[in-house]
Amino acid sequence: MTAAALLVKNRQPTDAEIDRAMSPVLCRCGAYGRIRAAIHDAAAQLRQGS
Amino acid sequence: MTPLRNCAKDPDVKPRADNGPRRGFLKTAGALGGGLVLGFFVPVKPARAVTDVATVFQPNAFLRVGSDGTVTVIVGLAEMGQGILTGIAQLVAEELEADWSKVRVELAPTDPAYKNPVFGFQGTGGSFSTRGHWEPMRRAGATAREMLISAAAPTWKVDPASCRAEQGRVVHPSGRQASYGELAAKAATLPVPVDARLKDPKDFRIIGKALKQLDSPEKIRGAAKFGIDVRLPGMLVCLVARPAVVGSKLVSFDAAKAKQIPGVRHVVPINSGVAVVADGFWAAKLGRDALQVTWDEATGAHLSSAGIRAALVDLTAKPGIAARNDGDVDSANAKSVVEAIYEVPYLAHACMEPMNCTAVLKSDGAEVWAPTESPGLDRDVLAKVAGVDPARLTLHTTLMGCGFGRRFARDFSIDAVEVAKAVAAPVQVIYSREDDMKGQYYRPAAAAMLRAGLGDAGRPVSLLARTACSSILRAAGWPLKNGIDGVAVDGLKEWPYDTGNVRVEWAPYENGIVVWWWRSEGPSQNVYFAESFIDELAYAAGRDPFEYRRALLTHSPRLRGVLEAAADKSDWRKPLPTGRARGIAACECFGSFVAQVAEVSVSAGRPRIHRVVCAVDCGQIVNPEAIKRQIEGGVIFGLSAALYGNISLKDGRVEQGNFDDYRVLRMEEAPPVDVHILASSDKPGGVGEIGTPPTAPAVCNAIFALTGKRVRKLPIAALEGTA
Repeated sequence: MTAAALLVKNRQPTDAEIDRAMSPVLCRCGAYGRIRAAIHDAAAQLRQGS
Repeated sequence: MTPLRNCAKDPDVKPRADNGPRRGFLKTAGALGGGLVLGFFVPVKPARAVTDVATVFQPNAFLRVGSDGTVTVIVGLAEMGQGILTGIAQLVAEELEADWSKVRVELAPTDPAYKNPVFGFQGTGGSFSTRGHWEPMRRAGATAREMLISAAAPTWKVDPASCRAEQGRVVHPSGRQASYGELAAKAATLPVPVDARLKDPKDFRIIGKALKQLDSPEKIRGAAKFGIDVRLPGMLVCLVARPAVVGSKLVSFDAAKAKQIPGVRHVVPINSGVAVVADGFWAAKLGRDALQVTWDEATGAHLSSAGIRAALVDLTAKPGIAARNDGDVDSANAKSVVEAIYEVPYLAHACMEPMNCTAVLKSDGAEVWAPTESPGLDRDVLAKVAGVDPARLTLHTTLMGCGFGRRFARDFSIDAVEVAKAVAAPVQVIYSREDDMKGQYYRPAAAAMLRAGLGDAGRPVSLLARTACSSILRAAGWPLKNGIDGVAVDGLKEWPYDTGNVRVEWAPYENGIVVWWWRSEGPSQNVYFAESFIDELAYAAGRDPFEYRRALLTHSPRLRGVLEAAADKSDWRKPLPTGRARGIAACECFGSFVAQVAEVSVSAGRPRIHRVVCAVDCGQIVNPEAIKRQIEGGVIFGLSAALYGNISLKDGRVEQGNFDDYRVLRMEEAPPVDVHILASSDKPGGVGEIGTPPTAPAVCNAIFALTGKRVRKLPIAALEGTA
């Protein structure tokens, strides 16, 4: 939901912008790199779709 | 996909009435609704009548072939996010020659049929899942494949040997073919072959593939049910007031104020404390907050981290119990001696899904839903608490949000059964984050003294390594072998470097704090000790830390292989920009070999990790993406612990309670982790834990390379004087 909120405001976030937005979200799996990549993917799909 | 049947949707499912003899190896295949059920046949009645082919329901078998061709793999292991459901399904499907698009997974019930062959009970731990099931699960698939071929051949009047199986079908060179769904009913009537041939690994097409996790779609949709999602009609929620001071006993309690909270139904003393049972979590929490409890606070009130550290360090100065003694460390002819003492704190598992368990007692038995890593050990214990025959206790292992070893304990499940019995209603016990973090079951705090004699060219001629810590096996009630807790010395005892004289000792220490398996177990601290110390020896010898290690690994080619790969992939020999340095560490653990290079900078005393390169030799590969995920996660887990992890005590009370004071890495701190898996034809090793042990020493060794400060005490952030 945090990522969705970011993408509503920013369709092309940088790594740093994603990190800043997602910083409060803790992941105990250690999947941060994959989450970041997924947000980039979702952003690209949103850009194509809009 | 078929919903994971981890929770009965129908809460009226009766505990099995007939549990009879509980095991038998591949004695038969049962025909149910036209499907082929195969595996370790257990003569129990299904929990509900089978009336519908599409929902063939028969637990206690490893696979089921439906008349629609669906292959359901039934997995008796705990899925805590590590991806074992998919890994086991790949093993079965490979030998079955299944059509992967028709493969489903299902969580198994609690039954000895699903015991892990390595440790003899149904449980998930020690990175033994793939190692333990690698051959049995493939054999289960191969056996079913042979039976399906045997079902097809006679109808075509051909020799079974002339048929082959592929993609969920049996085919004959004449062009005839039949799907597994068409053949299932017939196959179920055939005798079970005992010597089904396993495939040559060169023919693998499912094992070794980066297939997607079968349980991901449900988890992404939020449809997957975890332990904490269990809901039963009339279910109450319970929080337990437990003592804040280690080892305290209940003296008295006053429930009057707690019972004034709307929704609070019961306040009952149980073995672990005082249970507050309410209509929901919040009422239970308010009720517990209002509860007045007096504890004796007698035995543990003196415990403090400073005192524990001093006691552990003191122990490293005295002889311990020898776990390894090669040669004679005292008579080795050394030109110089290097000695160092390292310390690590207690650590909490900090699972995302808090500990929880749901239980209900019925007139004819009990039913329990637990996110547990050890159902095979739980059931007898819980049945005793419930006061029912173990055969009449149905234990459902649910999906779980992290495990890390914490769910190998049964404090939370015992509480649930005890409370459900006391209040005669379905009860879900939940430990809040704080309850869990303050409630012990910690990775042991430890201190270690390592002393090496160096000979020609700074090569080690002797090593004395002595570690002091509490015993996990003792905490679990398991026997020690020759007075040694193997977990306490695991990762130190295996010192792999050519040294000649090696003595490894354990100094037992007990203070009443319960220590427990924590992802990567003994190696979590022992590899930090060993790999920091070999680094110190390299510098004492004036050698490059990588070259020094490599030259001493003549007896471990696989360890040398990952060390070289990590150095190569991290460009070890190429200089870094000013202000950055690399550190290296390697180990053998859990049947695998792993090496890491961390790239680090330090600013205002705070290390920042820019990249971790990891090389892994874990034998044959079942799913490379699953391995990468586990290694990446293990590295981040190790970084959280190395940088921040610290459970401290003051006056017998644990000082941390949540992620505000027990920090874990955040996204902006998490470095890229490059995982390189080496090709191997060896048996599979474990991968769930191996990412963690080398991380702390690789980072600390990089900090030394950069700053000249040797980090001998974790966590790093707690250190002063790191410039």
